[in-house]
Amino acid sequence: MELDDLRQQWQAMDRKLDRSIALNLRLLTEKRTRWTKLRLVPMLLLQPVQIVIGLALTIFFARFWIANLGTWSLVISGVFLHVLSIGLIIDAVVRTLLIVRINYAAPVVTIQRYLALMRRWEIRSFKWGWVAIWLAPPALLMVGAKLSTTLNLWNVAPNVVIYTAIGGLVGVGLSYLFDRWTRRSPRLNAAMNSMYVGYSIAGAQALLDEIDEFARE
Amino acid sequence: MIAATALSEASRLQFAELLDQHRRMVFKVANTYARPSDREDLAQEIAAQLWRAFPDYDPSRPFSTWLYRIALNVGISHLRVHAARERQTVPLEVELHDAADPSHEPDADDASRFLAKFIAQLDALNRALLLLYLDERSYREIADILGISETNVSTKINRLKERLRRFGETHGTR
Repeated sequence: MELDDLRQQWQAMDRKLDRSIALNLRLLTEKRTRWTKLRLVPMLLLQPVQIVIGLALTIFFARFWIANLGTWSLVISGVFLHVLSIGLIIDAVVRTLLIVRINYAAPVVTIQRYLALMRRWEIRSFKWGWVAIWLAPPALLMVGAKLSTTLNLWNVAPNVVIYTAIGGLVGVGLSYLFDRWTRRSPRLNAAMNSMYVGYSIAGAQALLDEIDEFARE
Repeated sequence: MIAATALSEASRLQFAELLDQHRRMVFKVANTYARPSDREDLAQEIAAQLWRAFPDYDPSRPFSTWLYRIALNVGISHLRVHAARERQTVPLEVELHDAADPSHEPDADDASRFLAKFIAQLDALNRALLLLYLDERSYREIADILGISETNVSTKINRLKERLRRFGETHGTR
């Protein structure tokens, strides 16, 4: 069978399709638009909120470590949280820049590429965010203790900081091992995918490669 | 891009009329990218995206090109999300057409199934290319919709023809 033979079949299906359409798209549109708008609003609002929170935290932690320049343990804690706060801003800015480029009326390859880039960014952001959640507690404890009691926790109870840091590192390691383990089991991998669509960076990269390959002559 | 602009009553009517005239395109894309159970949802999603994008539509450009871009982008995104979740192929719904035609012939069914199988094993972008080709769009319009050059369209159509030949050899055409 040749491609042009399929054209005839396609046209025959097309004629039948016309007779089978009983849906009223006008009605559907009005009903669906409200739902779509509701779904998109949080995504739009979240980015400026994240930028504002990131800015506030950046200023807060910068002031903290500058005020404690003489104490290396407090400077390290403050700078670490300062960097994480900047990461929050960068994450929201990059996501916003990608979102505003997604105009579905643009050529298919262009938009699919932006969507794939956004997917890759989301996955990276999720994974780095998860690492930050595990590693931030000792720094937060140090900053919290200093601000609430003016004590340097590293001098008073270094074991608390060390054990919290070790716990964080173990958490990162276990998360990594869990990630590797779920990839080996198709069922677990599918479950992870249903929880977080586009779970694998390799998958997102493969998608980008597929799009680039299609666009290449 | 996301802000849904309020349309005047005249625009609303114009949109409804244009959508009605081109509704088959919406359903063809929905049938190409969605499983039978999701087809109606995808058609709705496409219609909603068209409605939201309509305030920015430039009437000096063909409505069909604009519609196809949006419909294919929505369809491909739908396929990717569902493929990631289910890791399943998404077959074209042959039964819809058969059910619509009580006098359908067995030979026609075989050809429809062959077409559906061929489409189902293609990646999302090649499905779009095939759909536009089967719909007798010009190479220029296909290039415009997909965002690739006309030469690339021609090359890829030839590759699709070759793939179809090989697919026919392994799966049988009739």
